[in-house]
Amino acid sequence: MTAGGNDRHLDTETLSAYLDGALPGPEHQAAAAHLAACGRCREELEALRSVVAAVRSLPALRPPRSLALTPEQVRPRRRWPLFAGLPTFQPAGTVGALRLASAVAVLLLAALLVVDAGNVGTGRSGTPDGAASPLALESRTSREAGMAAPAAPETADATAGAGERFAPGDAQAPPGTTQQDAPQPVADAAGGGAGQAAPAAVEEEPAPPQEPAAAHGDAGGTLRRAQMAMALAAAGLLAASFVAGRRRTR
Amino acid sequence: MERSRKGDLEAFNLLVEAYQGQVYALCVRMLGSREAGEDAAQDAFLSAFRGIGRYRGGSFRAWLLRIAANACYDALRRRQRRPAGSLDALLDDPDGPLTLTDPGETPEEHALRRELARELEAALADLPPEERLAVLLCDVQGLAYHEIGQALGVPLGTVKSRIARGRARLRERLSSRPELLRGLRRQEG
Repeated sequence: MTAGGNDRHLDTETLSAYLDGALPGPEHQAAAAHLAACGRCREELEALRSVVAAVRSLPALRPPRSLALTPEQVRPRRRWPLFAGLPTFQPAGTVGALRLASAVAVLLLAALLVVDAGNVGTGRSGTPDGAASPLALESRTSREAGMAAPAAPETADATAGAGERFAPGDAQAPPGTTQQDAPQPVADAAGGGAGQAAPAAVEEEPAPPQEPAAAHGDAGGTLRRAQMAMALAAAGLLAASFVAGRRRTR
Repeated sequence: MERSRKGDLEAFNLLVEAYQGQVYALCVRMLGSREAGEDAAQDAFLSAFRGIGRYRGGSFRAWLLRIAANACYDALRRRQRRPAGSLDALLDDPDGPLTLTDPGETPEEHALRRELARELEAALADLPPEERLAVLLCDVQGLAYHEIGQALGVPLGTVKSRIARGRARLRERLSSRPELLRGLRRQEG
């Protein structure tokens, strides 16, 4: 009877919303009136209805285990909520890997230093205080490192101080101890090592010229570069694990 | 809920227990794989816990499913393409729900239902993700349109059209197997 005013067929969107009872009142009534008069639209509606019924009949899926959160999962970082939607960061693994990598770098550095001391130091490296000469060398290189990575000095210092303890946030070494000091060439450092590196805490001494290292040059050059690279790597890795560890314990 | 918002993990885990089935089901179907779905669901709950301070009332389920949907989109983006066979793994899982028999169901009906579910899961997997998500939220999760709009952060009109387009595509796809839908209708009737 009223079909005359509704002879345009209903589109899928209308039919779909009609099924869900999501059409506003007047539209719903108009659609109902059209459906009452139009077999083709009724057929469409039934087809959609069976699709909906099929989707609804899909079996429920149950998680194979409880997805309840453990305290460990929850503990890491609250620091960057911006990244909350990103995949879970695995701090334990990262920190562990960084620490391992720094340990390796430190060991390599130590090995290089021993070789160097054998080549150049001619017995002076035999100082009873084994840590002294690495420390002195470290300070020289970490001065450069200090320019590039601000965090380097303190970690580099920790390296020389206690080879195996990288505990982040340990604060066992006053930052900057070795930083601006002991730019002596390696030969000197090896000689005066223990004496000069230890009280290295002096701050902000004007950086003395460093050409002696170059004068020393040639054969030791590559070795020195390797040491420097290794020291930089160690410092960087330590800094990274420090930061990562911090984040984790937060 | 109040305690959860203050970071009480035990309280939050009660919410996890209540919603994990829905979140998991959505993620599995969005990603077409149980493993990926489980990972995404876990990520979603973690994000929800961390972001619960930003839940501002309204439908908690819709809020949670929105986070789950985002976790799924992240996973899809990371993967770009669904590895072949993962859907089959879902459907052929011998411990899966598809092998459960309804009491009073004949073997033929069971086979038909299984077949329909397989076709449908495959058809769903082929939908564009936004349409798949809208259809799942509407017809599997049973959310109302306004809740879906809230969950997806889109206006009602968009919700309506995504659902309609998704359903139309499914219908197209299933129309090659009319006997499956007939079986379903008989079952319901």
